Amino acid sequence: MRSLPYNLVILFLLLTAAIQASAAEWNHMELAMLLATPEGSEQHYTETKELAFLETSVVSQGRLVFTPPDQLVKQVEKPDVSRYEITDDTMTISRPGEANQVISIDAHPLLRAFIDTLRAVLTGDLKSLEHHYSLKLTGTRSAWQLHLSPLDSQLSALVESLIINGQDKQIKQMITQEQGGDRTTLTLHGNGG
Amino acid sequence: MADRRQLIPLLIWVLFVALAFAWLTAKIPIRSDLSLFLPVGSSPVEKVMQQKLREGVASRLILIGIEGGTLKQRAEASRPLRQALLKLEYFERVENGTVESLQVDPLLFEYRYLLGKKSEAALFTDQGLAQALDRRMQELTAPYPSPFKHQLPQDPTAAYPALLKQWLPPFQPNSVQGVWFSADQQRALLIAETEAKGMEIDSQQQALDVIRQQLSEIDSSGQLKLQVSGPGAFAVHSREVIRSESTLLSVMSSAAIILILLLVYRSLRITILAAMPLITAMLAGSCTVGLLFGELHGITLAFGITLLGVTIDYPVHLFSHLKKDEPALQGLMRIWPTLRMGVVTTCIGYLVMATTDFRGLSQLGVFTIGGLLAGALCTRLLLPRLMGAGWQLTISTGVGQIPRLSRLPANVMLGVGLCSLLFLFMQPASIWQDDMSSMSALPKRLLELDREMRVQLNAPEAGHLIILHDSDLETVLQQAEGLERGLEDLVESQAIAGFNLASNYLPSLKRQLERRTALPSDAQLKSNLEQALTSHRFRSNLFDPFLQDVAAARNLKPLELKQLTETSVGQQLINLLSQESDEWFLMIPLYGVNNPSAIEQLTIQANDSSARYLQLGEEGKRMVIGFREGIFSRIGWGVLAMLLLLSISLKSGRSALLVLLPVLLAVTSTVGLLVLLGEMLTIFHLVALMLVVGIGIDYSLFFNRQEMSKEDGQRTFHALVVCAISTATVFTILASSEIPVLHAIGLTTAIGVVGSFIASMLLARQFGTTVE
Repeated sequence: MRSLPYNLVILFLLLTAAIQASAAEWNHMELAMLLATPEGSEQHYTETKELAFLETSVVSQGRLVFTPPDQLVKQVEKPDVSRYEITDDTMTISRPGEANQVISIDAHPLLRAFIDTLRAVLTGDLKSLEHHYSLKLTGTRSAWQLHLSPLDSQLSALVESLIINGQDKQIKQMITQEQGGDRTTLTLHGNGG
Repeated sequence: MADRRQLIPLLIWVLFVALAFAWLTAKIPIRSDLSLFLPVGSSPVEKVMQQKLREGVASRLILIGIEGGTLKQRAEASRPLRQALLKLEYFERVENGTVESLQVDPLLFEYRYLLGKKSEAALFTDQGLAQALDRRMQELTAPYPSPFKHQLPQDPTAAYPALLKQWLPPFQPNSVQGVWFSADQQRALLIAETEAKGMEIDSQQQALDVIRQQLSEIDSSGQLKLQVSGPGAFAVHSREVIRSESTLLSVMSSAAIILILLLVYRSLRITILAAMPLITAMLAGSCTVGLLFGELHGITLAFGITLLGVTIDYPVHLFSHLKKDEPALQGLMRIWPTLRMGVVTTCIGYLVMATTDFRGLSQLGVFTIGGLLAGALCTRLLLPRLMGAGWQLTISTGVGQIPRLSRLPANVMLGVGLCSLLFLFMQPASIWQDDMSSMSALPKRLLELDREMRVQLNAPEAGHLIILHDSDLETVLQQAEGLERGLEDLVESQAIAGFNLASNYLPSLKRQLERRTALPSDAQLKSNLEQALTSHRFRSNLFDPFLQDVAAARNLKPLELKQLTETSVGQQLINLLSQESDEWFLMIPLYGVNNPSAIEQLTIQANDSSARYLQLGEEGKRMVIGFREGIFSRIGWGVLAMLLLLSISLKSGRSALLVLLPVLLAVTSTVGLLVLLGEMLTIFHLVALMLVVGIGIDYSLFFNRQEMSKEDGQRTFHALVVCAISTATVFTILASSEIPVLHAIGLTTAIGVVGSFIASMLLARQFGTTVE
């Protein structure tokens, strides 16, 4: 009977350790709830493309505007002006001095997967991400990293992985690692008009 | 003894029936392909057009619509349906708007600079290359993956993607969730191209069954509804409708005839005997066609049996004319000369049909002639032997009375005929329907659905095309290239919405060599590229593969048809080119035609080419009109031949005229009445009128018989009343059909038979050719 308090202490220690551990190792669910923004967002971004075909990397800047439920606009401002607008099934590309180009996204499965990914990340729709990727979340709430590897063979022929870095509910960076070494790093600078 | 005398002929007959039946089922295929019932053209262009009509892609397309359920259900059924159908051997191609993941065809990639339109010299200048590199830079930095990225070092001018774009069909339907949909999103759309030709009804039927079955397997909810259209579906549907209608109608007709015979003669045995000439006629007709054509068409059989219904009249004449206790043979011999003359005259009518270019109709003519002769022979040789002597037929005396009506002046009939003729001449519009669709057995609803789906799918109307031909493929391709500028101008001026040119896939050797010569030399291209690269940050030496490819292209032998047909675009090319004996034909389908005269103008201006603009609808009309006029002149000859034959047999031209006059009056009145009823006349009405002439002559001959006693006259009247009532009943039943063809034949014949009966009776009495 003397050993009872001792055992209880051990049990208590184990329990608290477990609770602490679960608090530190936060899960997909929590990230999803964190990211889910019912209202739209507009953020400045800087994009760096490191491509094997090019001597130097290409840096561009602009704004990324998301209007729920599904409108997404990428407004490139530097070095050239161009605008990509995605609504439901279509992508409209506008460049100054050129006629608008309208593409049906659904007709191109690869484009569809790509755009769904972007939209799912922005809306915190991890359920739909799990359809196309295997997910791995590491880090802490204040500095987390989500690692996505494509499951679909068509997509994985092109994209090796996606890495998303974030802080709390703010996505900081999205890195697209293509097969063959090309890499695109999209850095978001938070809200701003 | 009497039994044996009857048994032997009966056995011979049964043997004939069994042998004929066995031979037919074993040796003679029954064809269901509808092309036999399209007129045969005479010029080579007409022949190619018909061949395209029968076998071309347009004829092999099945338009598929998925309706019902939710938008999502429809879209999600479209994809697996396409996958499932593609796995089956019935289909060459199934499309629903899904873009296949890009496959680079090595052969086409190698030949991109000789096949692509966008490979002019300007592309390879330093400026042209700089512009191309700007584009590639944009694509590389776009926020979505470029499917052509891997080809960039080899193809910086994007010649290959341009080539694929050049080969896209001129139009794409509306797309929702990545698959084709109608604009109102209520119908998901697919196009399937069958392996089998559109007129091969059995194969088309299988293809349709498979589509239905696959969709029901995919659709777990059971809410989706399948719609199919297109030439193959039409053919299958026509056959189903004709089959079920013909079966129903012939059952009804048979029942009606049996009932009439039973009522009139009150004898089961007589009714069975009456059927024997008809059975003989059908088998003999089938055998004649089988011997002459080696095959029998299902439609010939269906219509032929209808036309042979007349052979019921022969035994009716025999039964009605038999006197009490008179041996059947003796009774028959009294009427035989008249009956024989009627049969021969009717056969002359069908000879007109048998000699047309319309293969189906000529089969029908042969079928009927063979059948009529056999039916008459059966009545002459078999029936009297089976009946023997001592037949007592109770003729209901009421029918035997010649009604007072007959005392009406014949002028009434003449007046009706003249009025009708006058009425016809005064018709402001044409009384003929010359549309090819007048031959269709389809209800309007299906034609509407087809038009609707065709618009939604932007499928080629198949209605308009330019056709080129020459013994040399190269010449035809060059002529097509010569037309390209003019066609582009037509698109520009909105005379047409688009076109599909074979030289787009396979340029002429001349054009390929021109493009080859236009390619820059190694040194030139290298220096131009270096110039262009100064303002770009592409890695040095990145485009070495491009330099090598252009150098290789300068030594390529021009691509030939045989090589191209084995690639992914081969199928499209095969559909646009065909070789008939030693002549190459190149078809240029036109889309959305707004201004046919501008197209006509273009083909006229291209004076050194063989270009000819075909409007299938117009062409079809022209063929129908030509065919009708042909039939008219034949009818003229036929009537002359009948007149001649009657004059010889009756030994008097006047008597012959008197026999023919009521028939002609009846025919004129029938046509007048049909037009008055709002019927547009078709070839099938003409066919039915031929039948009327045959039956009418029969009536007229009997009414005009010289050697009639009063009793004989009553018997003749009885026979003709029974004939007219039974024939009119059968064809009235036929007229109730919804199928235009059956309706036309039924209505015309029913009116014509009644008209012939009245006219022959009135005129015979009035002109008093020795009655009593």
